Amino acid sequence: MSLFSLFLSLHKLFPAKAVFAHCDIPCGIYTAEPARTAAKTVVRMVELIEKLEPPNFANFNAETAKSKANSLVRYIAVKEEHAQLCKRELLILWTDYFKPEHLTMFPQLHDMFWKAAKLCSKAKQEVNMEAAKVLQEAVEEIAEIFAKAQAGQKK
Amino acid sequence: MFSWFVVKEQSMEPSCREGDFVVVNRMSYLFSRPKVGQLVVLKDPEGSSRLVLKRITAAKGSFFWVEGDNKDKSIDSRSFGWVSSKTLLGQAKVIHKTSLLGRSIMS
Repeated sequence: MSLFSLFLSLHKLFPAKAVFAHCDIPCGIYTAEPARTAAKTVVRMVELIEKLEPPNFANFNAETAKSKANSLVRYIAVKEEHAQLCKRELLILWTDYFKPEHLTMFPQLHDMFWKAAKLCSKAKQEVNMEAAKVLQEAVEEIAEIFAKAQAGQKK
Repeated sequence: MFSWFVVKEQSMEPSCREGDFVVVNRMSYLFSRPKVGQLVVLKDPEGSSRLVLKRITAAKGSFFWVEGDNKDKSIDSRSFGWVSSKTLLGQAKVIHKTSLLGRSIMS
C-alpha cells in the first residue's frame, strides 16, 4: 500500500481539514469592463440629473413634481451605487491582479489607482459632469494599462 | 505534533496538486528557523479562518516572504506582504497523489 493510499483510507475514516493553496476564484479571471461600465453609468446619471428641469412653481403641478422627484432620487441612487461599484472593481484590479513586477512596467500605477478611487468618492459627493468625465478618463487609462499587462503576460 | 491536511486549489502546482495530502510538523520551528525554499502551512494573512500552503522565498528577521509556485494563480506575499513567523504552523511535506510503481513520492 502506497503512502498516499494509506492517507486516502485515513481521510475516508477521519476527513482531513483543508489547506488552501490560495488562489483567486475563479482563478486568474480579471477584467476592467465592470469598472468602465460603472464609470460610464456615473457620467450618464450626471447627464440625466442635469437635464432634469426643476418643478415649475409658478404653475405648480403636484403629479409632475412627484414624478420629477422620483426620477431625481433614482438617478442619484444609481450614481451612488455605480461610483461605489467602480471603486470596488478598481480596488480588485489594484490589489489582486497587479503585482509588484507590474510597477517596473507602469511606475505610475499606484498613483493612477489612488486618484481614480478618490474620483469615485467625488462622483458620489457631487453632481459634477467635469469630475465624472475625469473619472471616466482615469478608468479608461487603467483599462489600457490592464490590457497591456495582460498582453505582456500572454507573451 | 503532526497534522495532516488535504490540498485545495491550484496555486502550488506543479509541486503540490489539488487532492494531495500534506503533513505538517508543528514542532519544526521550535528549535530551528524557517528556511528559504521550505513549504509551509500558515494562517491566512488576509484574516480568514483558512490555512494556506506556500513556499518561503525570502526571509527578513522574523518575517517571511511566501509565494505560490504557480505565480499566475497565486495570492501570496506579492499581495499581502511579509508574514510574521508567528503565523507559521510548521514545515509541510507533500504526499503526492501520483505514485511511481505503486509508491507515493514524499517531498
